[in-house]
Amino acid sequence: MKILVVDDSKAMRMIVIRTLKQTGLGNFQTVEANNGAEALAMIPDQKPDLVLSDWNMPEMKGIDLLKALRASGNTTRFGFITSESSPEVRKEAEDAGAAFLVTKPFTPNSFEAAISPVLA
Amino acid sequence: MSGGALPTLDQLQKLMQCLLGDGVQAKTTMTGPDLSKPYVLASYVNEASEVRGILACDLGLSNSMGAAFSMIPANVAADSTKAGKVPDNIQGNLHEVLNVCVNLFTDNGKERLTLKDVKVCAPNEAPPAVTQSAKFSVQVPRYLGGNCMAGKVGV
Repeated sequence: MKILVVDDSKAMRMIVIRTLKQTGLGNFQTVEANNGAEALAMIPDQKPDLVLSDWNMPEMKGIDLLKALRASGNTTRFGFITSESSPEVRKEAEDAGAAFLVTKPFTPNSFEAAISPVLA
Repeated sequence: MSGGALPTLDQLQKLMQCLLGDGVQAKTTMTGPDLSKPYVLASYVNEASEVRGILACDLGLSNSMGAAFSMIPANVAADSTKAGKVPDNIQGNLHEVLNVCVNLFTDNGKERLTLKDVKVCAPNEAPPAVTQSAKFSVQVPRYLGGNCMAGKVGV
């Protein structure tokens, strides 16, 4: 399984990957992108099984990345990991086709609860 | 802050432990950051761009949080604190930590707040007036740690 982690903070990407390793999700490899535009360019070649994206990023926001993917017919499973937590943002994410939204700060348990059903 | 909230000790400690490691310990305190020295002020705004919450952190805690976030050596944080600054390599991390701290103020997402800015304030520069506040001491293993004050702004 390959997971693409998209966040403009390198340190946050490290923490997301560290937390993924603390879950019981099994074997996976990770690739990283610094923003939505970079991720959008990488996805056709990398073909990740799951995209975990921040919401607010320069160049291209996470929600715009998701909308661009879906508009191009790409159905890669997609979840947000973000400090955003309002009902409006959750609804926008869901309407655009996100499988889940995990609010920062997160734990291995919150990751596993969100991701496991998606990968089942 | 309609429907807003001040962080509880438990919320603050859990957030810091998630970002900076399980060893982080927080406790409530009577004294907030020492505003007679340079300090860091994070402002959180609602969708009308009105400041609704602030987090003021003394420089020692700010440099500790920013450094610990990506394991920048403790002496870099300590030296920066002595010099009265937040260096660029810590600033980006600190911004990310304080961005996540927005969820200490959002009362389970009832009001959407976002981090407006993070700035280093001069000694004795007054933060915005707050209607309620909570003060904490945060110890980050291997780093200096320090004090912070979370405040609600407006009704």
